[in-house]
Amino acid sequence: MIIQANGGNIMINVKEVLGKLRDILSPDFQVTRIDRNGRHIYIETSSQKLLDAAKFLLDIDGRLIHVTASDLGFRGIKLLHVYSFDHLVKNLHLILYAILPRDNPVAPSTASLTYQSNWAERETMELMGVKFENHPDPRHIFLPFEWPEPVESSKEWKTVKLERNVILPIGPYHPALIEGGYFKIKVDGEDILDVDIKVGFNHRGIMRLAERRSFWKNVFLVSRVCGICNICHPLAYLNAVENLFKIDVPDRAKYIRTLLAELNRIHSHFLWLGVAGELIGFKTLLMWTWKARELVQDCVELITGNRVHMDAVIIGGSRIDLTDEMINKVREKLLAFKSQAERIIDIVYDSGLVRKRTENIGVLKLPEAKNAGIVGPTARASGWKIDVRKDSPYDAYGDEYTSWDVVTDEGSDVLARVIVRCKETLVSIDICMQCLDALKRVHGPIIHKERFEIPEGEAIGKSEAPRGELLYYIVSNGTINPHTVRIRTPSYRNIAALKYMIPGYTLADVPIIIGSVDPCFACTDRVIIVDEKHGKKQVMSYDLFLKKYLKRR
Amino acid sequence: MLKALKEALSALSKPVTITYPAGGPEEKYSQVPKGLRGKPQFDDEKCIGCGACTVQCSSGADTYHDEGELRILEVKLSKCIFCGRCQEICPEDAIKLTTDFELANNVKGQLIVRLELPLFKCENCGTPITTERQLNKIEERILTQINAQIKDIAKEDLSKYLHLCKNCRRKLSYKLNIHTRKHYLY
Amino acid sequence: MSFILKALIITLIGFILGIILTFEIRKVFARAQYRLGPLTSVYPELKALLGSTRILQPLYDVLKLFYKETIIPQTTSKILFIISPVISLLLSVFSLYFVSFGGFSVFANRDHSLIWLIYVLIAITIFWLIGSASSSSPWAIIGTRREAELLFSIEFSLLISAFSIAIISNSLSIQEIVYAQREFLPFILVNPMAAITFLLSILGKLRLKPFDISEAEVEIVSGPCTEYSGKLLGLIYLSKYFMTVTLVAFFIDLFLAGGQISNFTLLNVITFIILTLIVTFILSLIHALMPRFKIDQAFKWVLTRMWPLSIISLIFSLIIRSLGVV
Repeated sequence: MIIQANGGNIMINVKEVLGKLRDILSPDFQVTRIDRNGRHIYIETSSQKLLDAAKFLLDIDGRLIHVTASDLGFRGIKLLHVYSFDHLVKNLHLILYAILPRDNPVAPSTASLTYQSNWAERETMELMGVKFENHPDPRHIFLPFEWPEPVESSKEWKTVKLERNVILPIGPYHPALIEGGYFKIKVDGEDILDVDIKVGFNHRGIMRLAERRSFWKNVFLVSRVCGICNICHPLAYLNAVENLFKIDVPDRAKYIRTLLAELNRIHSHFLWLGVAGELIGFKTLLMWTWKARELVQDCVELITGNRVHMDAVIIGGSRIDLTDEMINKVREKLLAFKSQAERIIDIVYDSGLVRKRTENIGVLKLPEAKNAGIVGPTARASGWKIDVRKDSPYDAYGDEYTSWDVVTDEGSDVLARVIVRCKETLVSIDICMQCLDALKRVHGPIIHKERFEIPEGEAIGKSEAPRGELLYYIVSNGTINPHTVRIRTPSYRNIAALKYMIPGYTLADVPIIIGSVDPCFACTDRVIIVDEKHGKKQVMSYDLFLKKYLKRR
Repeated sequence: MLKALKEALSALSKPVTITYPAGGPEEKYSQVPKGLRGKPQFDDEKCIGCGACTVQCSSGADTYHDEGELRILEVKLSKCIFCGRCQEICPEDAIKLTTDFELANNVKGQLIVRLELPLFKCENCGTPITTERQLNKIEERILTQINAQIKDIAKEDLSKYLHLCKNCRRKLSYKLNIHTRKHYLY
Repeated sequence: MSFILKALIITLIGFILGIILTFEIRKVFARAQYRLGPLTSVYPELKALLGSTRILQPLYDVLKLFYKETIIPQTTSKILFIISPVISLLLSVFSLYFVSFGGFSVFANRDHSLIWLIYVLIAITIFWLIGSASSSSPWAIIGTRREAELLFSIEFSLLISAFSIAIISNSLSIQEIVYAQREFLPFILVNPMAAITFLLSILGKLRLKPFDISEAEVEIVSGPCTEYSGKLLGLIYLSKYFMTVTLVAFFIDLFLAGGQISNFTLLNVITFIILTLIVTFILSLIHALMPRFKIDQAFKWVLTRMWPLSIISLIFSLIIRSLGVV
């Protein structure tokens, strides 16, 4: 059987899955590339069969982590579905693709089966012009809704006769928003009925810029996608590139990369803890956590020379080396940080008012969580044990280098997410100490020195950002510049899943629910429509809302 | 609540604010670590104008162009991302990243570093080849590192071919019948 | 001394004390967070720029606001918008005359000065709410609704605890209450439950955490004060400074014998000032250590914890009084 229950865990047999897939997809089934010791399997098929494959693979507990497309010139447009099975079998990914003709790129949509591919298909419709049939919500996602040639006119919003209304813009000039999105919340009194989300107001075009620079320069470009989680982007990119070029990283470089990644995770989680405290009014927690975090930033500045952008890794290894003196100083500072962090985490657990503000708020239980497609600590707080560092181990996270455990919690609410991130910080400090010990033992080169050629082909690479799972897809055509770079960040999935977490709670809970997902995107508009008389709703379409809003001034 | 109270009471007498410049006026920047990646310093004497740093520059801040008799190397510090790749690749160690991070300025011209190096012209036709210093350095490097037996032959060849541009060199090798292409034509 | 002279002196004392107490609230809030806060003595290299002290920082804030332009939105009801902060300020100055500053007061020895004081305190908040409700901003409307809900719940417990003290001392005049404590014991030891509820009600009236719901920056921009700017905002700040002094002095008069431990006025005034500094320190520590309530949680908490406690303290003082202990 394909799915076997083995003492409570689900296992799958790779050969049988491929056999069943061959039966479903025949005659359009061809395995074109196998990577990573047979665990990244690329299968070419036709566009109509993608939907049948989706039904089968989602049934056996696969995760559809991205839908994207790459332009192959006169040969057509290559549409990819990336499925990840690495919570069942380590490293296993099935990548199904179909080559669509350029003059009529039509493909069936999988967004009706699962919410996971909703945003990815809308993005592909805009970027590449692929038309998806039967998509439940075919509006623009990065461009404005009413951009010339809207994808399809949305019939969702209608005007209703209204008596009195008050419009509340929590817009770009709000003191609460550090970074925001466009949340269109349908409100009835103080209770929230529905929410609509739009992003894309700070789209910088990094995927296009990366196609004009060489593989080596892209490491620095990609590190500037995000300032807080800024070493996990190069690490995911390097996982993909080193897969493609088939080069190995020496051991000492692996430990250095892991040390920097864990320092990044510690500082990001403590920054988040402060911001979450501010969102419920606990300003003192903000100051205490950010003070403790300065010790970690001092460590990073000591090792790499900069507090924010580390610029410390390169293809084949790392650019910096640690001396013994540096190791001793970093260990001292981490121990001082650990005692402060434990005190602060105690205070957060003890405080009754923090519990009242965060318990049973923003609940997303496990079966819905799988459909909504959340990743990272948000998913681990719903009891789902997925973590890229254990499932597809890279650098020094494997069992033969360091030993540590994945943290999960059953609560599924905002309090569980706080607890998961606090515990993860303590686990990360442990991993850092193990790496520091190993760096005293293991000596050797820090970069791969042998010559290699740049082959043609494609590869995917993943890493675990502080916010979740980060995916890179790279296509190379043999020259020094890549042909296609596609990035899927974890906040892409978590913010889309806010649609299931916000309705049902009151207006005062909205900031902490959005903050608990740890969003990392750019600032825009947020509109709430509140009415004074209880029971009457007012729903507006976007252009009518603009007209009314402009008239009031 | 009690733990928070204890933390707050112990914090009353220990503020962590420090004055700027970090460390106080006596020890300026005492809290800045040695390895901080700040403004790159280009050494006028050591630079040979090879242009390796302009190929490696991640952000395109480092460019050069040839103008008349000079090769002008321009570095726009407002575009620099202080990654340090130029420092890694420079063959003469002419670039060093200092710890100077106070670069804010409201005159953009002050943020451009400019180096001017004289170009060497081909002895035959007069087109510029590259900078004088680079040619001298190439000659020096070859002569110090080459095998002692063929050193004299190398010296003679260098004096014949080094100071010609590649077109003139190609024509000269046809004339002397030593062009390698002839092996493919027959 | 004549009436008007006393009133002027007390206004001046109240103003200076208000600035010092607001400075102390901000300083302790900052110091509990490892920050410096406004400075009592400035660093030597900055003295030329800033002067030698920043202890009058709240005064500089108000003066800065008086220099700025007052913007009145077109859609407000102008008369109410402008008059309400002015009346609110006049009432908060008026409320100073009912408490005794270590024996020094204008109206504290009249009968029923306790009831007058409570009326004036409620009126200050209501006029402020009228002003914010007349501004046409949706933020102000949400803030006004939240503040009105809070006002209803907090005022009741303040009232009941004040009345339980009045029952123990058998008088409604503040000066008589102080004299009763001088003969017996400070009432904080006799009826500590009333003291606790009164202290928490002060947090609610001064809009300090955990009750700063109406000024929650994260959700509504500045709550009721959103549309105010310039001179009117300065008047609102000033009335808050005066209200701080009144409430802290009220607490000390009711529970700590008003600092009047002897017959010398000067010694009483000094003790009074020291006690205000201590009480403000405690208030500011609570302000620093707690997050913020949601409005429905605050309402439930006040109804289930503070109202029963204040009613119990009322019954307790009735029992004490009838047993003839005092």
